[in-house]
Amino acid sequence: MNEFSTLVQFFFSGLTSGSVYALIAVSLVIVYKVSLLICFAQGEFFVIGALTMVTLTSKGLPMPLAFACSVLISAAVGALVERFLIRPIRDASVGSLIVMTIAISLALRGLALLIWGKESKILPPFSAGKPIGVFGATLQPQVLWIIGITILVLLVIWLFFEKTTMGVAMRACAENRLGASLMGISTEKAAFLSWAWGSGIGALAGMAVAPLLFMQYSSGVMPMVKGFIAMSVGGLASIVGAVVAGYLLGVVEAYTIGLISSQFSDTIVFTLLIIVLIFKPSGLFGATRSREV
Amino acid sequence: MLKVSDIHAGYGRVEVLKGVSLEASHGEVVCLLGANGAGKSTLLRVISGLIAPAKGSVAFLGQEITRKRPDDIVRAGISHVPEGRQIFFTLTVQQNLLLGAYAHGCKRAELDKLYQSVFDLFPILKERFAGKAGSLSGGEQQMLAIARGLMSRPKLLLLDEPSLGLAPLLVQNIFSIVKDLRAAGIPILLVEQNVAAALKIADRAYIMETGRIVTDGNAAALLGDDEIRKRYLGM
Repeated sequence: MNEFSTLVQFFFSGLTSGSVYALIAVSLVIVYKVSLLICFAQGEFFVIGALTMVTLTSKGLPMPLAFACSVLISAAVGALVERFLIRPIRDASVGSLIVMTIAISLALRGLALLIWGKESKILPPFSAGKPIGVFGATLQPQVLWIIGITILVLLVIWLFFEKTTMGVAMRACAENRLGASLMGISTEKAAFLSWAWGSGIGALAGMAVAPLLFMQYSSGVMPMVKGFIAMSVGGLASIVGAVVAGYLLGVVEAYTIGLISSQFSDTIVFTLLIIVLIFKPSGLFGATRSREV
Repeated sequence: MLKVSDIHAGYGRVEVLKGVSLEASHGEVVCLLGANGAGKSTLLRVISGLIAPAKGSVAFLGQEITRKRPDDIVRAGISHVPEGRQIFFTLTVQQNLLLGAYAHGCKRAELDKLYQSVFDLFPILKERFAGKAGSLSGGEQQMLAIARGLMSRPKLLLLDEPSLGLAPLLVQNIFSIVKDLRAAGIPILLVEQNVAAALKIADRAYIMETGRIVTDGNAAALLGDDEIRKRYLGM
């Protein structure tokens, strides 16, 4: 491999992890916008999605069916968590709610340990096929799947929140609760749906990347942290910001690992985060919000 | 049509309404006047189901609606255009209007008809249809708020301070729309700080002070009452 193809190789690995960070960040943003809550259990949905799919495919379910079922199961788990664990303490302080989502995260991790055990599982790639050579670098077909799924998810999100009445109603809830209530929109239903969306998308991220990783019950921790970073850098409430920041983070991280040090990559990435937040506390895409009356 | 009886309500331990009763009948504009903090907006919130009253009842078209959910109350036929408009700035004008009809779950063809009927009242919204609500001027935003309220085909409209923060010409515009709505047979419960203008278009009025109704009567009579003129109109 020459120097250029090495750089291309790093870029591919940046796109791969960037897709994962972007998807997790988007899932966090959707929950945050509608229920003003950061769900720290998002990493667990990443794991639940992937491991459910491992189980379903090993039971002989065809890939597309296993894929759809895993997304739906994860989304249902997220929606149930909202309904029975978050909604009863809706009016509690932000602190209590955050502690609650952390507790949910640990509980779900324990549940995953109980169901799937300690050992790592690997999901077969979505399609057979040899790695593709691009500028001397190799590209796994699964990476194309990951990027394709990310693009598709973003398209579906856009269509839902722009074109469907329910999606528009959820945005209305996110922007102005009072106004939304007066239209007869149930803010509870919106929060419920936002959790279903969030956990479904988090699961998709895990499922897409599972064939490239060893997935076990605790694999969601780092992706969650990185997704959260992408969310913050993207401005907390911006889907576009989350996507751009997710990919930026993935690519910066890949080049840091490749060119500087794999040992210190997290340190370097987190230092960059600190610098961004010091100079731009509202994130790269955070609008300075002014409330008009 | 609307019968509010002895409502007590507030926020937490603060009691804002201390036994308010009022009525609005078919085809009339009823005006609710009073200083800031008298409880006018709180009363509207009780009627539209945003606040559950501690005591008292609200009946609409002979049906008890106390403590019903806001969406049930919208479906029953009451539409509340709130203080400060509360339109959705990041959504388009069309999406704002769409949500006005949300509680009814309208079909495409029905929606198109409803859009058309609000365009007849507010032609400017047709021009701005695809634009973001946040890019509208203050007067246009108020029109959008009213139009959004009309999308649920209300049998009673609650209008909270529609003239607030608008230039005098636009205020006139809004009041002429209120007259149009009345002519179209939609009764209105109007909360206003602009007492003189409100009394001119209203049939009847209630005056609130610190959570109670202190005076009520025929709007023209109140406008002619020296005591009222002195206290509320500074004349």
